[in-house]
Amino acid sequence: MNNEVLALRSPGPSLLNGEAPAPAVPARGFTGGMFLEVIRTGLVELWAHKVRSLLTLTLLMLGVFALVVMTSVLDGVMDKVSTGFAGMSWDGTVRIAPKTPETGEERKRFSMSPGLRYEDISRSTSPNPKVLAFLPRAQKTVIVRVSGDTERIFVTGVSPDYAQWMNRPVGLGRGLTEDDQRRRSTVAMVGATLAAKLFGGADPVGRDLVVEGVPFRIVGVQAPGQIFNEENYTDANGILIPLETYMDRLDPAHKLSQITVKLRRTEDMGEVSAMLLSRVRQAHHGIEDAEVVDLDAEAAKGYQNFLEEMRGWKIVLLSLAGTVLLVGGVGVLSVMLISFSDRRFEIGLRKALGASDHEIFIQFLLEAVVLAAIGALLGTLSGALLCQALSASFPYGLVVNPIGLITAWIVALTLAVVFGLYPAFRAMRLSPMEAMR
Amino acid sequence: MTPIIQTEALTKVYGANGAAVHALRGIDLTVEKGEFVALIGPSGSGKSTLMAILGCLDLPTVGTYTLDGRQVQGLSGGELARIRNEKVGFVFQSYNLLPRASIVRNVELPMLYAGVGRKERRERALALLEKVGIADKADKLPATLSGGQKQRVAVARALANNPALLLADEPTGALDSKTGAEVLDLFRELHQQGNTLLLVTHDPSIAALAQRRVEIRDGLIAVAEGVA
Repeated sequence: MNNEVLALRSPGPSLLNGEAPAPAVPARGFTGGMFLEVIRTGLVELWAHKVRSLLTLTLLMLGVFALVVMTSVLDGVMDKVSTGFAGMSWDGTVRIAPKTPETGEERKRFSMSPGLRYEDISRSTSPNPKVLAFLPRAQKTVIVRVSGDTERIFVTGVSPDYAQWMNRPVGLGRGLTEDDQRRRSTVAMVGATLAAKLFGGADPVGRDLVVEGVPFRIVGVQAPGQIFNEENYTDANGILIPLETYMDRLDPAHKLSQITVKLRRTEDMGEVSAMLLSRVRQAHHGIEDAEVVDLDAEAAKGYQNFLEEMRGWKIVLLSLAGTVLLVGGVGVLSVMLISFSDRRFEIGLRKALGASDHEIFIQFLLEAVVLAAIGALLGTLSGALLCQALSASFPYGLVVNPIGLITAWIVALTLAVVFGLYPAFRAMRLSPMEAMR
Repeated sequence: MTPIIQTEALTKVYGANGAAVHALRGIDLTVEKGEFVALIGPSGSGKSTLMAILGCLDLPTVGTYTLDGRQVQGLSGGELARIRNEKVGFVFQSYNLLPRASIVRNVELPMLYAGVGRKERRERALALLEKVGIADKADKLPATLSGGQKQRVAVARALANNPALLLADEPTGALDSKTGAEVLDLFRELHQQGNTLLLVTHDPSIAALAQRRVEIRDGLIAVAEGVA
């Protein structure tokens, strides 16, 4: 004890000496040191009440997580569907297809027409400067036998430029050529899905596939793509062979399922459609048993429907995320209120030691913001992790949507400030006398 | 020389007309620089109210109070906070340390609110802990300290901004007689070095250590003895 008192008399800067000049007190205000101290105190308080903080953090985290993941996934789905619509290659495209008779009268009339046939091609598809390509297509379903198993597959006869215009890139081997067409070769290009089904991981190029007794040599495999319409599906689950080979070997009736017409300019659609219809009618002895479908408009309509549906989902998902965040905000309010009543004494003490009302106010508000920021950070990290995990199923991966991320942070921090105001205000108004009693 | 404390007709009334409680009824008190004054009185005497006003935690209803040359009555909450911070060092009966802050951070607290830089804050806090003899506990939490040690930390904290007035409210009330005596020795030491001390107590033997004893009863100064 005596040693300790002696220490008081030790020379050196006499901090205990009442005669010493008062230290120069710098201008007050909320200093950087105070800011750090407040953040530190906030973290210490959060850590001291782990369960309470965790509950609130979880809610805020879930809200931010939901917002981040939802906006990113919506982005990914938009990407996916947009590529899908582009992958259909239906822009500036019309299709001539057999018309289904609607009345008995029509059925009787249509039966007198030969229908849409291979022979129509030369008559209805004479070169036209407004048309880029005519892509006839004939199709049937057959059963094939591969290594003991039977499989129902689609066999489609197409022209050599079909793959190019309809965006069916070659994955392995080669595509169909004009040479194949000229020679009526029995060659086939296999769809990606079918190739995987029939040959597993093995390279199918060079193997034979027997279709209705005719062996076809597999020369190539289509690259895997997204399935967005029936054609995507049949191409992926079947084989493409030269149209001429198809007509010679597989269909003596020479029936066509459709002729796809690619236009140079979308504006010519009406004119070209009318021209095509009249040609077909002429070829069919005046019987209108084929119709022209505007695929461009169909695709646009589909895309529009999709966008509308997405808008609906967006509203639903964002409201959900917003609700979770709001609940998180109420959580911040309750944590800060509990913290306020737990720490009345501390507030009083800090005030007695010289903390001004607004310093206490800022301290409480900042603690709420720190709480929200930790929640938002955890939500962001977990959201980013989930996006990464999901990215394999999206064409361009799944990148965290920056707008969603920023929005989530702004909403979380704003809620923290809004719900932190009341407890902070109460802490500010607390008189030191009252608090320390 | 300006007195550290000068009050004139200090009156404090709680509540409204009908149920008004007159805690202080006109206190004239002067404490000169370097004095050691004991404030005694039974509970309910107005002792705590006077202490709160002298410590700038509360304002008088009527009357004037000048602390180290500054008029206190009529000041705003912010100005009062600043005066508390710069001119008053509090030592409480129950130490009142922040339980989740280390000892040295507790001592730094008044300097933090005075806007002292981090480095200087730390240096001064460590020097103060050295002076009160517990520098080795700087990084410990208050809960690991004994009562006497905690009160030493509180004294170091009270001295942090080199205040004009040290205000101790029953500083030994929670301590056993041995450690209580040690803390009182510390106060005597501080007095000898020129600090102005006002010690609130109900224990006559502790009050006897002061130069001057002022007894409050029913909101008035009942007895004043010792050298003024």
